[in-house]
Amino acid sequence: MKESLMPESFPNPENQDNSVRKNLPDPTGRKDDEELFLRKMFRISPKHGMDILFRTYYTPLCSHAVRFVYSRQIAEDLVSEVFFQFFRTQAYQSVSTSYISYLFRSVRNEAFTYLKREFGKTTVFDDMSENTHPSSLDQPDMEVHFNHLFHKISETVAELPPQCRKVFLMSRFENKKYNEIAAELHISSKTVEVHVSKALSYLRQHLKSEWLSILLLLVL
Amino acid sequence: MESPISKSVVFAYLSGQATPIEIQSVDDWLKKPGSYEVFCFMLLEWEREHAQFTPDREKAIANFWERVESPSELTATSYGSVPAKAQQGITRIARRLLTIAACMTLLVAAGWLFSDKLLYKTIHTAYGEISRQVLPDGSEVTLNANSSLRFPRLGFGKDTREVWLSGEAEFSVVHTDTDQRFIVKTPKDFQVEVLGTEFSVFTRTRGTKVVLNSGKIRIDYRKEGKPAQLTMRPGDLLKMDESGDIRMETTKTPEEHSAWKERRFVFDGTPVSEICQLLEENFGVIVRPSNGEIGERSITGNFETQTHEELLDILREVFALETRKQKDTLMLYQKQEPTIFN
Repeated sequence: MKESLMPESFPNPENQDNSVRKNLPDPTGRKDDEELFLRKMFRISPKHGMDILFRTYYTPLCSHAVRFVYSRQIAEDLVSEVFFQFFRTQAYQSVSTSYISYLFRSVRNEAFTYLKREFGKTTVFDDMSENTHPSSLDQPDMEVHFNHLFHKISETVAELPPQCRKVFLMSRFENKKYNEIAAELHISSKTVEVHVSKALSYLRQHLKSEWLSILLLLVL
Repeated sequence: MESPISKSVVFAYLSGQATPIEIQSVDDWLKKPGSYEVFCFMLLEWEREHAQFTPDREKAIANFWERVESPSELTATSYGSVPAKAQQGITRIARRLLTIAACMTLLVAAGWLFSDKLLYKTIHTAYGEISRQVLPDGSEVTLNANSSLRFPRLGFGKDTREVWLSGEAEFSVVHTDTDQRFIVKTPKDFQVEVLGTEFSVFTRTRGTKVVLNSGKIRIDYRKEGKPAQLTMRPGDLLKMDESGDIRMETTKTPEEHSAWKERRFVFDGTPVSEICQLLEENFGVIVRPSNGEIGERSITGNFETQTHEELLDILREVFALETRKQKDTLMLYQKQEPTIFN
C-alpha cells in the first residue's frame, strides 16, 4: 500500500526545491507555485496530494512546533496529528488560505493547547489582568503573541543555569530517561529530577504573562 | 502580494535579533489583513534554513498512512472504499462482539426471560463516556456521553436495519448487497433513513440535529400531524427545535459536529448558555449563568477537554467568572474584586 502511494513518476518536491530555491530572487512567488502544485495533486488524488504535502512541510512544521514544546517527540506527534486531522476532515478541499498558513496556524494552536495543559494547570490563570480587555483584541494579535511566546520560551530556556539547561534539554528535547542522563553526566538520578523540575517551574513562572494574553484572545 | 516588510527583517524578527523598531513594524504589519499569508511563506523558508532538528520523516509518513488505514481509528471508513485490512479488522471485532453477545444471550436466557432484553441490545453511555460500537451488519456507531442506542442483538431483519437512538451519535453505515435500508429512530416522530453513508444525529430534549457527511439520507417526520419527508445532501445540517419546527442549513464544516468523538468542543460564537446545556448533556453537571448578560457572551475556538472541569476552567478563565454552588447547580458569577466584600 505504501509503495503505491509514491510512485516513481512523482518526484520528491522538497529535495528538488531546496537546490533550486536559492537561485531564485522571488521566493514568495516560487512557493505559491508549490502550493498550486499541491492543490492540483489533491484534486487528482487526495492520497498523492497528502503524501507530497507531508513530505514538503513535515520537517519545517516540526521545527516550528519544537520551539514551543521543546520536545522532539511531542513536536513530531503534534505535527502528525495536525496532518491527520487535515486529511481526515478533508481540509484540503475547504481551506481557502494557503495550506502552509493553515498548517502553521493549526500547529500553533495544538502547541498552545498542549502547553496550556502542561503548564497552565496551577496558578497561571488566577490573576486575570483587568487592563487587557478581551474585546479590544482580535485574531491577528494572536499570531503576534504566538511569535512572542516562542521567543519568550527560548529566552527563558537560555536563562536557565548551564547544567540545569543541559539536563532539561536532554530529558525533554532528546527524550532521554533520567538514568541515561545521570549516567552520561555522572550525576545522580535524583539530581537529574531536581534539575528538570526546577527548569519546568522556572518556565511556568516566566511564561505567565505571555500565556494570559493569548488566552484572552480566544474570546471574540 | 508585495510585502512592505523585507524578508531579512522578518528573519531577524524570527531569530530574535530584530531591533525594537523592527519588532514593532513586523507586529503592526501582521495585524493587517493578508499579511499572515505572506508571513507564513517567510516563516516556512526560515524554518527550512534554521531547522531545530531533523525528524524521521519517512517513519512519520509510514505511521501516518498506517493510522489512516487502521481499523481502530474511528474514522477508518470515511475515505471511500474500505481497505481489505480494515475490513478484516471489522469482522474480527464484529466476531468478538458476537461471541460476547452470544454468551450474554445464554446468561439472560438462563436467568430472566425478558424477550425485549433477549432480542435487543441497548448500550448506554455514562456522563463523560464515549463508546464505539460495531453493529451486526458491520456499520459503526460512535455514541457520545449520556446517550443510548438500542439495536437487534441477533442481527437485523431482511428488509430494514432499525436502531433506536436517544442522545447523540455518529453513524458510518455500510451499504449491504441487498440494499437494506438503515433507519435511525428517535423518541420523537422523527427518523433518518439511509442506504450507506456517514452522518451524525443529535436528539435530546432541547432539539434534534442531523449532519450529513457523505451520501444521501431521507428524513421522515411529522408536519402538522401528517407524515412528511425531506432529503439531505452532504454538508446539509438539519435542526428541529422543541416545538417540532424543522430548519435546513448548510455547513462548510460537517466534521465539527462530530468533534465530540475526539473529546473536542468546537465553538463558533457559541453562547455560554449553550455551553451550559452541553455540560449538562455530556457530563450531567448543572451549570447556569447568574444573569442573562453572562449567558449571552460567546466563545470561539477548538478545545480538547476530558472532563467537565476542564471545560468549566475555560469558561472561568476566558470570561473571568467564578462558580458558586447552589444546591445541585453551579452558578456562574463575574469574578469580584475582593475589596467589594470588605
